[in-house]
Formats: sequence, C-alpha cells, structure tokens
Amino acid sequence: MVTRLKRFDPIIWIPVALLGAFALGVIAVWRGEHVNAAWFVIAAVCLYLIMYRFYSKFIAEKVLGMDDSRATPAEKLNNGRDFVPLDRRVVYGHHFAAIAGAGPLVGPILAAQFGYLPGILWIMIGVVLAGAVQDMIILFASVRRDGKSLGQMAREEIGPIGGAAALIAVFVIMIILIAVLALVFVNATKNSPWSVFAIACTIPIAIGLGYYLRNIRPGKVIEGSLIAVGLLFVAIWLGGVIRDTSFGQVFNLSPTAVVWAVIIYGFVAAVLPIWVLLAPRDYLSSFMKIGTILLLALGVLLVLPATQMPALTKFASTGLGPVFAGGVFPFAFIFIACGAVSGFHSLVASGTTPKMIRKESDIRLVGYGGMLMESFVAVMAMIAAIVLIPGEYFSITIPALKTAANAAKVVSGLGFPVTADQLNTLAKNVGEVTIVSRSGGAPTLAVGMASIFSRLLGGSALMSMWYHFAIMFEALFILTTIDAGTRVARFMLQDTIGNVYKPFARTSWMPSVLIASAVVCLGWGYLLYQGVVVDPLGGINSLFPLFGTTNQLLAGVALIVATTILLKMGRLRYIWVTAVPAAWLLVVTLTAAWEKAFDPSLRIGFFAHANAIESGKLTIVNPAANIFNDRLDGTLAIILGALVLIVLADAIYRWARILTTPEREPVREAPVVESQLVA
Amino acid sequence: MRTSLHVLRQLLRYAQDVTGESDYDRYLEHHRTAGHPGEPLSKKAWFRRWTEDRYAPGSINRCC
Repeated sequence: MVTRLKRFDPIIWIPVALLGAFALGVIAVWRGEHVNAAWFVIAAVCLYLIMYRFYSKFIAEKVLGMDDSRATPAEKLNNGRDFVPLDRRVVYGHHFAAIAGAGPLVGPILAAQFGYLPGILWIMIGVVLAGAVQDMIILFASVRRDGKSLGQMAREEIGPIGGAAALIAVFVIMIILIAVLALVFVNATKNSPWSVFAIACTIPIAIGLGYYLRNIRPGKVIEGSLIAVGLLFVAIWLGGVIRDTSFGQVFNLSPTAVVWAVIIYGFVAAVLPIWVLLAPRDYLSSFMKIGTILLLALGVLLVLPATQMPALTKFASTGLGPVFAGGVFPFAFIFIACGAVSGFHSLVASGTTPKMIRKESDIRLVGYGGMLMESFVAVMAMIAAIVLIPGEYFSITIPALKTAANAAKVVSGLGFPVTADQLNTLAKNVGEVTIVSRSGGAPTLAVGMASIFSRLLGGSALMSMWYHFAIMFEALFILTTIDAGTRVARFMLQDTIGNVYKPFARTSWMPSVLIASAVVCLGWGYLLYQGVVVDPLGGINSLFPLFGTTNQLLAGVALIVATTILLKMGRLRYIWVTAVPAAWLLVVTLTAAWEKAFDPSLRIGFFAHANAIESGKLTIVNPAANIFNDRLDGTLAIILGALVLIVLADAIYRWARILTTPEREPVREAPVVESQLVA
Repeated sequence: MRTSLHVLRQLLRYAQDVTGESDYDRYLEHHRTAGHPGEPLSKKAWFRRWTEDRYAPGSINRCC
C-alpha cells in the first residue's frame, strides 16, 4: 500500500518556491561584487526541500511504485547481524556517514576556478535530477533484490558483458580514487611539520582506541571516540608547539618522502587486522566529519560571509584555467562529482544500506535525502573557497608556483591582484612557512574554513589552530579511504584471481592477502608517485580528471542499470527519470575521456603532451618518464571510454529485446513476501 | 529543563543507534525472539565479530 498523497500545502510550498527562485536569481544574475553566502544556502535549501517533497515523492510512488506491504530483506532475512531492520533516521545516519567523504569537499574547490556559477548550478541541479535519483533508485533496486550489489544487478539485468565491464570499472575507480586522494594528502602535508606531526599522532591514537574498544570497554564506541577526539585536539596543539624545534624538523617531509610514507602506510593498514587501525580510525573520522560539517554549516550561517570570487572567470570560456586545464564543459561536471552525482554512491546504496531498510517508503529519505545532505556539504565547501580573495585562492590552488613573490606575479598577471606580503601574512596566520601551490583543494578549503571559523571564534590568534584542525580532518577522511579502499580492491582482486587459482580467493590466507595488497598498493602508489614526483604540475591536472571521469562513468553505468530495470518494470513512460541523467553523464564522460586522450592542446591531451616532449617542442625534467606516464594516462582514458561504450551497447541490445518482445521480460526481483511490520 | 534533558537523551540514543553501540541489545533481543539454541555471545565476543562483519568482503561502506 502506497501512502496516499498528502494534501498539497500551497501555504508552505509557494513561498518556499518563490524564495528559492529569488535566491537563485540573485546568484545567477548578480554581477556586482560580493554576493552574500546566505543566498547560496537559501537557494540550495529551498530547491532541496521542493524537490524532496515533490520529485522524490513522484519517483517513489509513480515511477517505482514503492509498496510497504512487501517485506524488505532486512525483515525477511533478519539475522541480527548484517540484515537488521532499523529506524529510517538511523539508516539515514549510517548511509550519510558512508557516502560523505573527501570528494564533495575537494571537487567544488577546484572547479571554483571557473567562478562560482557553473559549480554551484551543477551541484544544485545535478543532485536533484541525477545524483539523488541514482542513489534512491539503486537503493530501491537492491532492496527489491535482497541486497544485491551493483555488479550483480548489472550482470543479471543487462548481461554478462555489461556486468563484467561494470566490475572492471569499479576496480579501476578504486585504484584511481585512492591515488587522487593520496595526492591531495601529499599536497596538504608536504614540508609541513605541524600537519605531519598531528596526523602521525592519529595512528597511535587510533590504535589506542582500537585496544580500548576491544579489551577495556568493549563496544563503548561513543565514549572511546570522544576521548580520542580530545586527544586529536591535543595533538593539533602540540604540533604547533613542536614545529619550530629540532624535534619538529623530523616531521618536515619532502613530497617524495610523504609519497613513500603513504604507500607503506596503506600496505600495512590493509594487511593489519581490522580492529587495530581501520575500524577505530573510521570512528574517529566519522565523528570529526559530522562535527566539522555541522561547524562549517554553523559558521557559514552565523558569519554570513560575502563571496569574493566572481560568478564567472575568463577561464570558463577560454578553457585555459591555471588550476586545471579544459573548458567548463565537460570538466566542471567531471571535477564536481561527489556533491552533484557520484557513481561511488551506487556501491554503498547496493552494499550495506539496503540490508538495514525497514520498509520501502524509507528509501526516499535515505537515498534521496542522504544525497541532498552530501550536496549541501559540497555547497558549503564551495562557499569556503569563494569567500577567499581570488588572488589568494589561486596562489594556493595553482600547482608549481615556487615562491610567494613568484605566485604574486603570476596570479596578479592572470588578473587577480595579490601581493607577496599578503601571501606571507596568510601563511604566517595559518602557521605554515608557505601556502603557495598547496594544490589539490584540501589546503584551500582549510584556509577558507579557518577564515570563517576564526571570524566566529578566536580571531586571527586561533586561525592556525583552525587551519590545522581542517587539515587533520581532511587527512583523517583520506587515510580512512586509503585503508578501506585498498582493502575493497584487494578483496576484488582476490576474488578474481580465485577463479583461476582457488586458494587465492580465501580472504584470510596470508600469501594471498600480502600479494593482493601489494599489487593494489603498487597500482595506486605508482599513479601517486608519477603525479607527485614525475609530473612537474603535481598530478592534479592529469589524475583528477581521470578520477572524476571514472566516478561519473560509474554513475552512468548505475543509471543505465536503473533504466533497464524501469523498462522491465513496464515504466516506459517514466524512462526519462533515469535515461536523461544517464545520457548527460555519458556525453560528459565520453567527451572528457576523448579530450584527455586526444585533444591537441598540450595541457589537456595526454598524447599531444607526450608527442610534444618526444619531438623536443617541450622541454621537461625527466622526459622519458613523463612520456610513458602521459601514454599510460591516455590509455586509461581510452579504456574508461571503451568501458562505458561496452556497457551502453550491451544495454541497448537488452532494451531493444525488452521493447520488441510482446510479453514483458521478467524483473529479477526476489519473491514477494507479505510484511509483518505495521507500516 | 525536563525537555532539554529529554532532547539530550534522544540525541544520545540516536548516536548509539548510528554508531552501533545499541546493536548488542538488538542482537540479544534477536537471539531471544528467534529462539536460537545456546547462550548468546558475550559483549566482548560479539563486538569482535561485529567489527569484522562491518568490513567483510562485499560490504562497501566507504566512499569518496
């Protein structure tokens, strides 16, 4: 039984719509300086409320036909372990903690080089029409199939070829994701004894927490985590104390040293038992995440900072952006993945979340609502970037600037005036020797957050603490993803090789664990190394587009699966709900993959870059390695494009069969069982 | 005063649910109602297994 449409409440929704439209109008057409950040928040919240109230309801009732009389897998298969029906607000918390990572915090910052308008519009429109739709429908499909994963659904609903391509895409995305996040981490911590010390402290703190939860007070997650978070603050404070001492210089690591530290860390963390490092670090980063996001929202709402970045910069039309190269289309839509639409979410939505859903109508809040919250985080991150003075934003975010004087000259020359003194003062305020070319997004966000927080509390005296708090919080996210991602990729590899050599599939067999972990770490470690050490531009320009492309590609695959399922359910008239965003993502990812491979511009096309070095038109340190890496990255881009086309071709074949066969092809849902829960 | 205490208690309860602290009680409840034979696991043993389960192969619960 579907809950009946409640009375349309025009008294509430018409003002919300008008306010939202007005705020959006202010953002879009205001061409004076300094739009207040409040308008961004108002526009986003109004749009989310309206689309949640109307569009997600339409999808739930009309498109999917959710039915609370059908027992969910959590009810049918309740085993008190992984299949457990939970209150929808609790599932929402679980799901949000799982989907929200460093992605929505980094992408919008980088895309801010185009000005705020392209990014903010894509975040808001992308989420309500694509991202939240994908999360919700995949979650629904998985619930109807007893919690099957996206890979299994792709295989069963589309076919073995599409399914295999989807699986390969998942593996590739894992490797590239880890490499990119590790790259962001390196840029945030290189030559910064304060950051490295504080982050190094998280390791013994996490191990201590793991021991506490296992042996001293088993399962007391909240009190243990709160104690550990307290210790984290002590570590941040201590970092500031020791940074100028000779002991502090031990933590002053070159970029190359950080790369090796991260690779070794990743391998060790992936091999250790879960309770030692991964699980406790996960609690810590979840606590810090929720706390910091609340704090950021509070800061933005209380400070209401004026934005400094123009709506559009000239880079939007020239495609010659200094942060990364390429035009607004397709690259704004590639760099902002998480926050607008993220294929990765379809893995979570078909992973642990569907096993906790109590009744089908809860999927609307968890799937659609959870993604709206993630998008809100992306809006906040965008705000933190655009309240910075553009000259400072670009000096921090553009790669390969040498000194403050050099940065001031280059950035001012781009039309964003800034002085060396200004940059030195800013560096001093955040407690660093330099903030120039800490590219990757995380440090830019940290400076933005520190400037907002310090206006709220502590002024410039506390700014350096806030900055390192923000860096630590992002580092925790990233390290958790490195642990967990390496492990997930390792399981996939073990499973695949296990098809050929049986013992390898045993996830606890040590030789298999060590070999598979090493292979995975070498995979992302190589990409990381080439990005940081070999590539003179520090990798963001080459690796981040690959990451964004894979993530959006996965979203495209998920939406193709969703489209196939809708067709099989006989919902041809509503097919646009998934088909339109799928088509958009395919156009975006294919264009991006094509441009990254074949564009004649040296800064965009990998092959053009390689050829220019080879023919001597471009002189560069380490030419042979750069040529090899360019060709490797270009080949990766081609493989990614080919994977999408394979899935699409397989799906179109399937669609044609569904549409031309008179009797409807059956959906592969689990059998209907009457729910015993009172709806 | 009463209401703010109530709100705090609700918040704590929510945090316990989301972090999984209250899962052990839920497990005991399940053990009882489902009529499994034998004693239920101790909290320590249960928490060990629960931690392993959370990161078992196939349960992707982490994202970008």
